[in-house]
Amino acid sequence: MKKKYLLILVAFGFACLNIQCDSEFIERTPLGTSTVESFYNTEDELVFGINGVYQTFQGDWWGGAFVHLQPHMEGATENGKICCDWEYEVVAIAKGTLNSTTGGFVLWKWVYGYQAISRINQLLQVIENGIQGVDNSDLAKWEGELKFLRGFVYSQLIFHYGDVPLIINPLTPVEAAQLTRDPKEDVLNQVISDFNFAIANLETTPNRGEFGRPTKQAAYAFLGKTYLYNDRWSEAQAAFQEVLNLEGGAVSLDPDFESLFRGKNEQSLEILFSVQYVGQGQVGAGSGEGSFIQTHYAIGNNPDGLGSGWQSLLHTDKMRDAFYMIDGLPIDQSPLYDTDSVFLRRDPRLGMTFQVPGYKIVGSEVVPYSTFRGFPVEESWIVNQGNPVSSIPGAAGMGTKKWVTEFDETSFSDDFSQDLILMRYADVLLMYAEARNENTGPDAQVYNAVNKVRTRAGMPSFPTALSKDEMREEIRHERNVELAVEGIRYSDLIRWRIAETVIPSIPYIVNRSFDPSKNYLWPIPQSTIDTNPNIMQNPNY
Amino acid sequence: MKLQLKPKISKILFFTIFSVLVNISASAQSGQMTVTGTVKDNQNQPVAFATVIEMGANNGTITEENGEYTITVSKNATLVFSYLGYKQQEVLVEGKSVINIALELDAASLDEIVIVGYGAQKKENLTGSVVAITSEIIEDRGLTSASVALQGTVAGVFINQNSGQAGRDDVQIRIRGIGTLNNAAPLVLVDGIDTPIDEVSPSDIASITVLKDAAAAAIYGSRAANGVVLVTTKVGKKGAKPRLSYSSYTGVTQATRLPNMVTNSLQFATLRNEANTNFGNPEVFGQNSLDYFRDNGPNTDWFDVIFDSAMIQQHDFSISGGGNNSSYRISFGLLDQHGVTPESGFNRFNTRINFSTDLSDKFSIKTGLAITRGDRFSSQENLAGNGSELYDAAEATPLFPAYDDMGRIAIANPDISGASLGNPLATIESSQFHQINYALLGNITLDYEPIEGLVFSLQGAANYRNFNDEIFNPSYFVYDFITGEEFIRNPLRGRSRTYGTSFNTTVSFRANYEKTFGKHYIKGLAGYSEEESNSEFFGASRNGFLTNTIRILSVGDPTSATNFEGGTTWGIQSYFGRLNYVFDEKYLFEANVRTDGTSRFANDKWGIFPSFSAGWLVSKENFFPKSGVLNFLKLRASWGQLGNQIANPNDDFIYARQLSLSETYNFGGSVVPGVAQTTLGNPDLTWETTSVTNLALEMGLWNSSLKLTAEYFIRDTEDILFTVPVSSLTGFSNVIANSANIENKGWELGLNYRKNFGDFRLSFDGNVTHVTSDVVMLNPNIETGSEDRFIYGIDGRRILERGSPVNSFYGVEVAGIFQSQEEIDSAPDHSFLNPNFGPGDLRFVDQNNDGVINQEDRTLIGKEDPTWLFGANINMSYKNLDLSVIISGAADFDSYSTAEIARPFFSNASLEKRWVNRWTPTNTETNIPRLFFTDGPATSINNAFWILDRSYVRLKNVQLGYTLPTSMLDKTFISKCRVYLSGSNLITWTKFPYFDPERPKSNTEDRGQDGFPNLSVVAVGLNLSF
Repeated sequence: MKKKYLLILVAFGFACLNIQCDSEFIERTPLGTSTVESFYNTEDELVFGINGVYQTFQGDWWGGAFVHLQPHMEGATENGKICCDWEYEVVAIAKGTLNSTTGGFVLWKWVYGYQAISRINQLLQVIENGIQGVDNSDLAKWEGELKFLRGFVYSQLIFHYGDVPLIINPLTPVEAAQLTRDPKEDVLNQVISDFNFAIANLETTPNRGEFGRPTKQAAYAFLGKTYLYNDRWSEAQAAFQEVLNLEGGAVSLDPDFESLFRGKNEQSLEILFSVQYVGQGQVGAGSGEGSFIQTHYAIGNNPDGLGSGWQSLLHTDKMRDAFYMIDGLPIDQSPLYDTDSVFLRRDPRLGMTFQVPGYKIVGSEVVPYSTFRGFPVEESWIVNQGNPVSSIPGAAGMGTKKWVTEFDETSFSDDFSQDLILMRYADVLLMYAEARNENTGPDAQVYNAVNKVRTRAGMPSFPTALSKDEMREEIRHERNVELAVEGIRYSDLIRWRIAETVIPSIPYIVNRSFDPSKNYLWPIPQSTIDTNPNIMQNPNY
Repeated sequence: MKLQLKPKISKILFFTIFSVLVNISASAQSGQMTVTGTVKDNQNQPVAFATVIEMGANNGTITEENGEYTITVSKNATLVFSYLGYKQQEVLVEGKSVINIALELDAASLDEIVIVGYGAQKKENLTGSVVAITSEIIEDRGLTSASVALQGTVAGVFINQNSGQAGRDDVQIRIRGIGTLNNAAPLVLVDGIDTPIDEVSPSDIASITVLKDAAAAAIYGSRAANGVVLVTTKVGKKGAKPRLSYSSYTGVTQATRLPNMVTNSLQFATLRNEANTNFGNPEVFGQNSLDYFRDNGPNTDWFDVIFDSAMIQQHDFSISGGGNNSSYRISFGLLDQHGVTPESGFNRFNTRINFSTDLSDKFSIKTGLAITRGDRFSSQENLAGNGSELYDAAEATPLFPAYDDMGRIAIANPDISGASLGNPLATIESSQFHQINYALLGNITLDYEPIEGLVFSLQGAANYRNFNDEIFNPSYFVYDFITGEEFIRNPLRGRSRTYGTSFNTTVSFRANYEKTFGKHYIKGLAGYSEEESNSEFFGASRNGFLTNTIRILSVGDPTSATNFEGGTTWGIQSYFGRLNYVFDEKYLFEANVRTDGTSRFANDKWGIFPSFSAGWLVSKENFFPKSGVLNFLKLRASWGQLGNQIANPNDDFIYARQLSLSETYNFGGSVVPGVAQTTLGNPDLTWETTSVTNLALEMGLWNSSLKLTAEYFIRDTEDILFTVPVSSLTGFSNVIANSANIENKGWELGLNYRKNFGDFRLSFDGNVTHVTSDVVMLNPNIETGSEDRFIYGIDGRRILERGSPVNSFYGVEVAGIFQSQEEIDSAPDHSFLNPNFGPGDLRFVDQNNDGVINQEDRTLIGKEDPTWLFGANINMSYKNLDLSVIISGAADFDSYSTAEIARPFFSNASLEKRWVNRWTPTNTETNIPRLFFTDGPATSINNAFWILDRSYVRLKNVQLGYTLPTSMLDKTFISKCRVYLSGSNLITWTKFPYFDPERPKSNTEDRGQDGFPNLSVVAVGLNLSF
């Protein structure tokens, strides 16, 4: 009988084993979703991850992104004003009231910057660990692309915040809570090293031939810009020279300036790097693939139903007056200037960048408008077939044309395809000229570069025999009009250290202020300091 | 008619254990004879299920419904008659063939057996906090779901029935408050298997046991932090003749409470104009409209249009019985419930087979199989909330009729009725939802007893469920009620299907040992169990159907097709042990330990949960006076730890670094797939730990006719899985972590009184609970306590902060109503909130005395969970008449409502009647501010005006029954017949103004109309036994 009991006990024991008294029982794999651990097993999966990095640049309508509404920064310069305080805190930047809890751009650069960094570092580690079946040398071009993106992000972070924590490997929340800010110089060295890696491993055509991924020339351009922003003129000049060497091949100045910004010439050889958007009608495009730049800048509401953009960016007469006359002279020197017809006989780029009187949408002329539904919107600009209403002092009396596509200039939507250009060859030429002028003075190469830009626009060449200082001023002016409404002016004012005189120079827009003791850097977001007391705030914030 | 509660399952167990203990060799004996007789109680009523055992032999039976028994015994045997709550009697057979027994009440007996985790325990020997209710409390109440049976009947248990929609009772169970910021639902086990309680037919339930403290629940360690509800189904009896029973009720249901709306069109339009002119805006309704309303109405009461009374009926059959070695019970039931709104209803079919048999004298096997089919239809899946007919009834104004002159669905005429939302009848027309659910629950247990007292059990169970949803949106027409203009709605039509299954399995292996040596009694349990769940769903939809009649997905427009799928899985492994020790029947000790591993965590899967408890039966001591009023006294204390592993029941992989597959981008105009990690995950997540200390005192007075139980408990939950901010340097903004702490504290008082006054018998069970649930900490990284807060909900109306109740409401206090402009001018500045404050608007309290009313003045203004719970269960009988009453209630809890019904004219919606008593220059004695449209000064900041007290007392059930005397049934084949009249939710006492105070609790915010009202049921019923 005892044997029988034993047998039965053993049977129970087996039953237990059969029902898996083992630890695998509590190891489960998520269904219907993927985890970092289970993904990135093929080159395609790696590329999907890289595509996901660009998402941090692209953003969506209401949420933020690293660069998605960059032209708004024009509203923090003497050239413009952002309609409303709530639009991404550009007004706080313009008024110098930004602080550690300011949201919008001040927060987004940081948050989305580090979001991009964390995505990039994770993928760089995937590459470092290797992907089975993929040769490591095949991965180098992807590593180059990722390091380009990392260099791009960090170059902006140090520009806006100064010293920042340099993170180049994936890290845990505990590690993140112990980091300190690294000297800007250390981060800069990493940026230069990342761009150099990209230069060495990228071709002059983008990976997989997909327009929008970085190229060798884009990496040179951003490397040069990084040197330039840190006053390292000769290195900047050398990097830009590499781009210039490709002119006629991989890069060129597009003969049609306006077309670059109207949604129809987005793959011009002039465009070195841009954030890509497609309309929602595109196959596979969901919500968030479209651009909302147009919605922000297109003309505003009006009783006819034409025009339902937000017209967020309003332009000052400083902007308008910065454009020379067609004879190449400033308005106060040229005999062509007529104070009654201020838009006539001007640098053609004025009319290509802005909707000026006479411009027609769907047969209706656009004119300034001083009130909108009873609310004062001093420089609003609407389609109106009736009598023009005179603009108030200080308003330029013009609407935005750059970034507003030709297809549908009046709609309010988030599904426009207009890409946001982050680097184009005209900028490279001007930066090259700027660097070379600082190095060698205004030699023929400097003239050659700037004149290409100016003559492409239909303007006469630069006056000859300029001094180095005069040339510097002319290049700065040229940047202001060539790159107007591209969000670059603010960075230029910062790096030239002239922000405190220029930004408040529009007395009719009240409360403009720039405190040079602090505003050359932005504050570190409070939430970051709250979660990591080792991160010190920038001075005077 | 029995006085004593009859936990039938307990009796069987008792009987089984008893017969095993007797354990005399079953050698055949000569001189057998058959003895018959009837067992009656002290009231001369037959006793069913009384145990009749031949002493010293492995032989016994149970009495029938009419008290009769038949047993074959040796001529010189001694028969032992026993029945719970009665003194055991021993009778020598001495050749008598008929032995009738009159049992005597054993008032002091507390030998009730209670189902506890993985076993049963004499109630007297319990050291943890355990409450059981029996089938009497559950049966015959017209319950559509079993969980409602707990309402008012168990101290410390809060039942919130969120909906009276047919087939969607949506019951929320909370035991002793809210112990976590996550899923606070208790573990519900049906015959030991994790099953939704409402999948069990109430008529199949033998008992429900609630394990409230750590000592009682610790054996279920990992899943038990919020308490455990054990449901035991009825089984057959060995050696019993087949017994058939049939019970049914038929009744009428209707909504308990509906809001009172302003339904007079002229009054409505006038008030609507007032809301506008109060703020200098033009009137909405001109004289034309007002004249029309005066002459024509239409004075539509939309709640009256869509709500009606509806039929409900339920039928249950069962057959139970057994042979010498086996027993069975087979039941099946049908529920047919019509909805109280049009085109809605629920049908349920359920069947259950429980069977057990002895394979040999060492082996026995028990098995159960239950199948339930639910068939629910309505216009929308959820008849409350956005887009439902209830929502539309709350929004529609009384300015247009339900039907036009030709009986067609009417819509408002914009010229006459102004802007108005749709006709709820059109909403009903616009969508048809249909869901069929199947649930299959099977379990099998193999018991093996190699030596006396040692039992090995192997148990396996599976629960398969599926749901099959279909929605069709037909085209239909509506007509302008003035012009008759026709409008087509849903011209494209639409259809969607969703199909999902889940499969849960549980396997456990246990060893039980029980032994008495002299004054020592020990019982030990050791076991292993594992449980897993796998679920998945998929669905598809299309629109573009040509007609309303052909509804096959494949005929819809293929370019509109969408499809989706998903699923999840989890697994838990556990080892557990329990030791009971009783010395001299006076000193009780119990220790439990359980260790659990879960798939829901990555690195730290395992948690250990111990508990210890002790009890002292003071009344068994020699020094305890034997003749005093106090005849029973027991003290018990327990401490233990329990675990919780569920942050969100829908997310089994929160630890993982999950990838979003929708981070798409595009290059050169072509969209490319993009992937990115979008949740940080946390591989170090581990168990939430709940420590419970419980102290209790039990007393019996006057021969235990009055019993009192008092309990005090403290429940601390630490390491609650909570989302905390994380450095943005990680690339993320927050992370789930074991961070928050919550403390529950409270006491419970239970009172039980039983007394017979001749033919009149009375029993009263009452309970009161006081419980608080406070946040101790949310984020340990925040040093300053006052900064450790989390404001959430719409406009930040909810707050979690250190030292405050969980689920608190946050806003400014109200100090009355401004009566004049002078008062406004001298008051703290309100204009920051809204420039339009004027006489008749709310005056807010300047909490920080800075002269300005703003967000800084917010404070706690209410809380969502009740502090007080109470219930009473009163049973009376006189001869064959019986009356039972169940009352339940809760107090000190609130809701915050600002949407459709609460707010005046919310987005052109209707107006609740309390606004008629609004402030006007001539009606200043009121607490209702002046009228506004949608948004006014009263809504400029979250404030206490919108807090509504949900405290209520409800007559949960009242039942009057009559049992036909046995003498009348003697000539029939019927052994028992009872008829009754039952009413549920007939009366509610509450200040809560609209719908039902048992309202939904939702972190996505109530919208005034959320929550389908509960139902009141009036039913007649019949119970028959054959």
